[in-house]
Amino acid sequence: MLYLIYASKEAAIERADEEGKELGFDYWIEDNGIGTRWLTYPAETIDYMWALDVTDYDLDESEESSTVDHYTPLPGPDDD
Amino acid sequence: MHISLDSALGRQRRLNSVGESVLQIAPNAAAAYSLRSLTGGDPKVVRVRRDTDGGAGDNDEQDFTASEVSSGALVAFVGSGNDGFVETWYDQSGNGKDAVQETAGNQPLIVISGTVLTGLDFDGSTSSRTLVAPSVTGLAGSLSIFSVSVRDATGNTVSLSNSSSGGRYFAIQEGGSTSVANPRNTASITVSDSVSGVNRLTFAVTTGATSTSVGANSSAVTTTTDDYGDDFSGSHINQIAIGVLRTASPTGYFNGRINEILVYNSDQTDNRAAVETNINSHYSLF
Repeated sequence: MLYLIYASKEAAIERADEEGKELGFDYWIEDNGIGTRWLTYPAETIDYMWALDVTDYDLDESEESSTVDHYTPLPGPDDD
Repeated sequence: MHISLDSALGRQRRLNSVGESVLQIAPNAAAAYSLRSLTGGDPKVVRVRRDTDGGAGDNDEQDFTASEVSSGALVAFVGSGNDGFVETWYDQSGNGKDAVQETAGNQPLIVISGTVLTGLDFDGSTSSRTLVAPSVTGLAGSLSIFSVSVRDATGNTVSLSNSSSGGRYFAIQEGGSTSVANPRNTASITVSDSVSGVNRLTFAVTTGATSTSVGANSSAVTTTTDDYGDDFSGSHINQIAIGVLRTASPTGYFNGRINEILVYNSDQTDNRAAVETNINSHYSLF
């Protein structure tokens, strides 16, 4: 798996939106807020960053050089 | 005496009646999800995205009614050899609590390689497939859940939970030899009922922080008085999550097929036998 790490959830979703548009998901075609919007959705990391699974994304050179192959998720209440 | 006898006979007729839908037997559900009709009509049940692997119509979506799922229209839409994914599992209760997954990578399967499944496939071992009905209000006090599934590994079929707190939920977990009710409203407790096999029709009910019961495949319920914190009230529960324990710090993904979920904002113990007779006559679970 490949991930891009973002400082904010908004920035990660912006990249996920970009890929969703590229893939032609219904949310972007119908323009009515209905349907699939993203290929993947960001998850919070243990250090309060946001990891986006970009394994199947069409990445540019800058993004390719920034990917990581793992991250540590934010633990849940049972994991404290 | 005459009235009591008539009432008893009427109840027996209801238990044995053919063609009566689940929501006619036990009306006023808070939410109801299935691929079959639960209303007696032909409701919209599912919205499906097809994956043609880059071919014509890739990622197109379409709504289907219960009769269109069973007639082959759904399979025809997805196409030979392709997979179909569920974007929305429509709520048949009339309350509009549709369960949605906007992220393609997290959508459960309904068609695999051109073959329609009898339930939605959640592969919790390799993915995070879930459906969530957001912005749910009014789930408080006594709560009942019916869950119909086929398990491949331990996981949660449904959770009445909180979108921002990992410590508030009332969930059903299907384990190897037990069906488990897991309420938590500050403190996590569990109550389990022994069950064999992978087919599960699980009923869970809580009437307060010290009263939770669970019963699998029509067996008598097991009850605990362990305290899970506070009675569910107000905005403690604000979503119905399918295929996962919680979405805040997500964990407990289900691995298997989920056929049907019924949620009531009331104690449905009195209707349990009739509801489960209806469900079992359709799915032949036990």
